[in-house]
Amino acid sequence: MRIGTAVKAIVGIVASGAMVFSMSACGNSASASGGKVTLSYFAWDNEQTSKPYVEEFEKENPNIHIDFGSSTTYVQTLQTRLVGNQAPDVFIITSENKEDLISNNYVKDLTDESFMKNISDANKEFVSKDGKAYGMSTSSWASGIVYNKALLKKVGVSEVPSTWEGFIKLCKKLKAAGITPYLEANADSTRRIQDAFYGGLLAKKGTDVTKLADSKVQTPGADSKEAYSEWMKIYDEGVVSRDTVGMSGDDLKTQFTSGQVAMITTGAWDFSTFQDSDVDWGFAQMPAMKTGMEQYAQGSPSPALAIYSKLTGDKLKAAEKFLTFMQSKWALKKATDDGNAVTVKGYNSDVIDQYKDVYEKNVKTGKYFLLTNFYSKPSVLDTTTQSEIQQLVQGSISLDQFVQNVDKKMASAQ
Amino acid sequence: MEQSAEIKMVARTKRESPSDINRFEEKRFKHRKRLRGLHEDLTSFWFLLPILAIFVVLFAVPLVQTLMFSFTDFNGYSMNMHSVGMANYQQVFSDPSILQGLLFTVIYAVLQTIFVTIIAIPLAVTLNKKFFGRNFARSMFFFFSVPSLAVLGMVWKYIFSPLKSGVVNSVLSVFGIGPLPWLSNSRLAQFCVIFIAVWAQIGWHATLYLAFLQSIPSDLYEQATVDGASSKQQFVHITLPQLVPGIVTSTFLLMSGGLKVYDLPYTLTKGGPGYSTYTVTQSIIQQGIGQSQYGVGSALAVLFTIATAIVVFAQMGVANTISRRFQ
Repeated sequence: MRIGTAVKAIVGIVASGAMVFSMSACGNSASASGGKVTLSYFAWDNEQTSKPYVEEFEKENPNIHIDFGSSTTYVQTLQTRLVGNQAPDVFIITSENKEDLISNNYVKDLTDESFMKNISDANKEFVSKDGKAYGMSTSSWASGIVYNKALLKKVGVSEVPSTWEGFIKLCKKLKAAGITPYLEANADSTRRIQDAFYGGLLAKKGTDVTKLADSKVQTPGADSKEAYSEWMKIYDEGVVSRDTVGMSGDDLKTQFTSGQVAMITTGAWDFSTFQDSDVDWGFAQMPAMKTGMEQYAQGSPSPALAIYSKLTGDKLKAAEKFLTFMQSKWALKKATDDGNAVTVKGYNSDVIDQYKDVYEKNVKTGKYFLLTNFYSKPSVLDTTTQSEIQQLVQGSISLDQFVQNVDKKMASAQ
Repeated sequence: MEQSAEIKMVARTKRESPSDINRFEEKRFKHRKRLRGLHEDLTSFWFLLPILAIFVVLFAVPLVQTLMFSFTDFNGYSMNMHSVGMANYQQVFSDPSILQGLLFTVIYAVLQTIFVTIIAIPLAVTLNKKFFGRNFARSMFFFFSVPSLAVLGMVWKYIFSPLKSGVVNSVLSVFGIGPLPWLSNSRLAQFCVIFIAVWAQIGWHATLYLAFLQSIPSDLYEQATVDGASSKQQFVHITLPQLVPGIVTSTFLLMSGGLKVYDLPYTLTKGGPGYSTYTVTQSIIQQGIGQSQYGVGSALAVLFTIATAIVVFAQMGVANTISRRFQ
């Protein structure tokens, strides 16, 4: 039964008012830009990051004007604009909104577009449904283990072990030497190791990850139980303090740069902080869950560019030109300079020495996994796992209760 | 005079008694009074119209919309919504995270109201006395309440960090204590949130009490001193009863503010560890907007509005009863 006529009327009136206002604004901008095609672009990144791309594109395409916008509350703002018939022409599709954007037909199918030819399979899969790609993502990120070379040297170790068993042994060695071996930010950046383990586990089983979200009953808790069981050994064996539930990513950075911890989990976004510090550091792949399994990382393709599905005529052509430009050599070099690990086929990002190993073995090969990318209701899953992981680490719930709580929450959100 | 003569004449014509005439005059007087009242009401209405319009647009309309959304599966992306009956309300009552949020919100609101009141009144009495640097002390206490609770939450996150390098843990280590898991332990995290809220608000509420204290006539104290009343007796029998209107205002603000708290727990702990410092408002924002479950978020908002209204009206009722006793 359909209801909400009154609500529709109210939203309609507000949206109509907004449309009239925006149309008058469009009229002004059209005359100001002398008959140019105006393309609205609602970006994930802020103006400082996005503006150079917009300016270069406008320079190369003098007949197209980009009406740029961004927001710190990107997902909610885009949602409001879409439901109020104020959709931008080009916008960002990412794990938090891809399911809703695709199922409500807001994004154009880009599968057969020429600019998608060089996009890596992992990046395509990220924003695909039923074999159709709805976004263009040109880079990816992968987290790893940042380690203090001097502290590891104190226990006669020069690199991070490649298995979890070896990693725990190293932690015990460091602890015995009076060094805090490892910390993770369970207050705000949970699941780094668990996602890596689960990714490796799925790869070993040969699971098609793009099908995980199709299952009517979503059970990410039960599916990843083995990965969590292995990860919890680090707490159950008393190697790492359970106080990590109150530690944030910033706390970890401070501890690492002041030489108070040997290893932490993070990614390329923190490299500049480590480079500015006095610590001699390295960045290693995350250990494999078990011997014989692949070393996966927690990681994901970066948010992708999408075209509004109702776009036609000159605006559609302009939008396609913009996406073509965003994977041009100039744009990819600029993205690399901005610290992004570009994954477009035939292009090599010139990353810093510490990142090379993870870039070659995880980022470029697509051996990374992010739980929220492949299950439906990612926002529910993200916040639920964070709270439940904190309780698991505290010891206030068991692993079975963790699994039950996560899956129960997912079932109620379907 | 002329009018009165006319009335009498009419009365004579109709052969009415003098008591009838009086009743007639009384009626006319009442009618005129009613007209004057109506005119005054109309003037007040024009003054109230702007705020009434704001109330309707920003409060009444969203409230009605929220009520309607609470019976639907609206996801924020499509206006093609469907009725789900009471399903969203059932989910509210069966979700353990929401129930935990409700429990902490009530604990937070009650404890901060009690502690701020208990500390702010003696502080106001002290700040009302004459001593060197009084104005500086008053400004200092008031200053705590100037920054927003969100900013304070971010600052106190470093002070209460569970790491050895956290400010409080560094101080404790001098005495050979700790480090204590301030924000890692559920009970300690709850204590931290309530402690900061009390610390941040006592200054503002002490200033409020100070204003009420300054309106107490000094001759009451002079008379009590002459009668031999001790300082304690003066506080209990003069200061406290005279402060009742202030206590009513202060506790009302604390309780209503406490029930809708969001910024401090969110910036300090993000509602964690687990759901130990999770609040109802965070749940409404997270489930409704963050997770695109507008139906569930709306149902929770409707229930919470009703519950808050009941608590606040009950509090006003109790406060009015106490006020009347001391009048």
